[in-house]
Amino acid sequence: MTGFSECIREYLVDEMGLETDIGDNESLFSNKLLDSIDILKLIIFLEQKFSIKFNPLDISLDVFDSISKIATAVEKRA
Amino acid sequence: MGDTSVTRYLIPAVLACLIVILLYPLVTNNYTITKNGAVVDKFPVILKPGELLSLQANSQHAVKVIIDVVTSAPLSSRYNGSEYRYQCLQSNTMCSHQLTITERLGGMQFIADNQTIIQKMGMRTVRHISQGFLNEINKNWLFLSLILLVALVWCTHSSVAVSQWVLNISSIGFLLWIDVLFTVFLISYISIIYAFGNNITARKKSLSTLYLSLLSCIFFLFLFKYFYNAIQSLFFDVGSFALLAPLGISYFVIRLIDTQLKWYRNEIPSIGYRQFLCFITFPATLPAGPIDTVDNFNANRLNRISLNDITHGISRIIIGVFKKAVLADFILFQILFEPGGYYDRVAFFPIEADQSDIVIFLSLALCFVYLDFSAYSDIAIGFSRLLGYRIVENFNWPLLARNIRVFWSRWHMSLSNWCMRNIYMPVMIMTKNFYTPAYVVMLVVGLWHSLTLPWLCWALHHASGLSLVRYLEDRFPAKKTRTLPNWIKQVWGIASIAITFLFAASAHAFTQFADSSTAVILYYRFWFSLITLIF
Repeated sequence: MTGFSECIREYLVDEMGLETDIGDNESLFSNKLLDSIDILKLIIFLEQKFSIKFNPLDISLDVFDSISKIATAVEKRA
Repeated sequence: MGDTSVTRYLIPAVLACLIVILLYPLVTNNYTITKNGAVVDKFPVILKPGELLSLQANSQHAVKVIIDVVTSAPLSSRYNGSEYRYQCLQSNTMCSHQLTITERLGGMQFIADNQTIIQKMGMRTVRHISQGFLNEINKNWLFLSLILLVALVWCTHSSVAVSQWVLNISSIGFLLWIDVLFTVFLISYISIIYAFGNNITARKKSLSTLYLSLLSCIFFLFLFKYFYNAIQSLFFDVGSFALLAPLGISYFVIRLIDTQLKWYRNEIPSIGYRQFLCFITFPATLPAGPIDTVDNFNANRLNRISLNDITHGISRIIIGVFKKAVLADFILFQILFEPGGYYDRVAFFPIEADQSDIVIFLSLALCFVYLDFSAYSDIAIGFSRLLGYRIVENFNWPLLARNIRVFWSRWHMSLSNWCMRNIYMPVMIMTKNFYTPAYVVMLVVGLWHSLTLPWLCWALHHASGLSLVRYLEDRFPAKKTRTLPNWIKQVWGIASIAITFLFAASAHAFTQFADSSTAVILYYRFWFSLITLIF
């Protein structure tokens, strides 16, 4: 779980320009730190990096709303 | 959401009331009665054969009037050169006659066939607002029942179960009053969907049940939305069936689809039938949204209805009524749709129409639709608060958006969020690009409004705009423009608001005209006139 979180954080900081001290539970989408373009890029990254597949009907924006939620979603599918 | 939120809406509501009080004398009962040129200030008046009694509207806003006369014998009336027989079948009883005055100033002349005693004569100004919106409320018992409902909810609010059953029973009662057969059909369908919902939770992951359930919703929507006339013809007396279908049906179905997907994703805890029914048929949002989610709806039930909530609710209702009755119907409707207004100037001869008229018509049409729709949302939000629920906002100054993507995130927000959750995200994950979902969402929304060519064009227009903005945002991220001087950012800010407004306004060529050739000509001429103006 920590490994997933760190990897996701690294991607968000390097590729999306988020601050390095962003909290695991900080809201990303609701606080407008990410938008749907970023979410798409993030999904593509996660699917490639962890060889997982997101079911279109199974995903809501809430799943991507914080680093910890994304990590949980990845862990479930890994 | 404490005192700040109350003041935010209370002050505009008070201002709205003041404006109405100031405007009221200008639009009501402002007329002069003359007999052979002399002003008549008291009744009864004896009218000899051949004498002329003239009733003249003083307000230049008098558009539709009702003239009430109490006379002892039939009168002939004359208006704009046409003769009307103004006949009272019973002497000394009130006879009312309604006419539309198409000129800015207008009136009616009465000539007696025989000597007649006119006991009383007066004119009531009736506006478009009263024809559709306010008049309906005044005319029937609906207004009184809504007050009774609020009182009942306040008395029972301490018990969630009792107050929700009060809401459910009142909604079902209202639907039954409109149409018994349809209500039985609708409530049965909602109950079946609820029963299905228990089978599509994530624990069981019954995808086939989900598909079946979603398909039934779409079928239900199509049945009532597009085969409405055929269904109507099945029934001997459709009554007020029209009030529910097709628009109200769309909102039922949208809430049902959302709830089913949330059940499937296991995003909501199990809810009882009472809560589910209360969410789907909540009286305040029943006819036209906003489209809340079931979890948000139940979570935002107020523990107690405070004085602040009552003030907030009433203020929002006043603001909504003011926007609808004064700004939309009293001002913009007349400018746009009255005889000789902008609609007449552009609709009948779109090729010859003045270019500036086209730009003004489409821009004002956007403002009219915004005021009209956001007014309904204000009233629904205010009424919900009075019933003890804080429901989602639906508009956030969309006309000041800096691009069309932001515009759609601020316009009919509850539907935009619904589309984002249930169409945009799944299609984006499936196709791995952000252009296709924009087209799919806009086509769904466009064809949800109407299965016609102009709405298809509307969908393509907005989807292309969204795709272009997406491309530009991806190509030139905000962080790259942070280094630009402030004045450039400010000028660009104002220009981008104007461009977005005009882009959104131009699409109203497709919403205002069912005839596709008129719509396309006006759309093309709108952009042509803007381009020629700039260059």
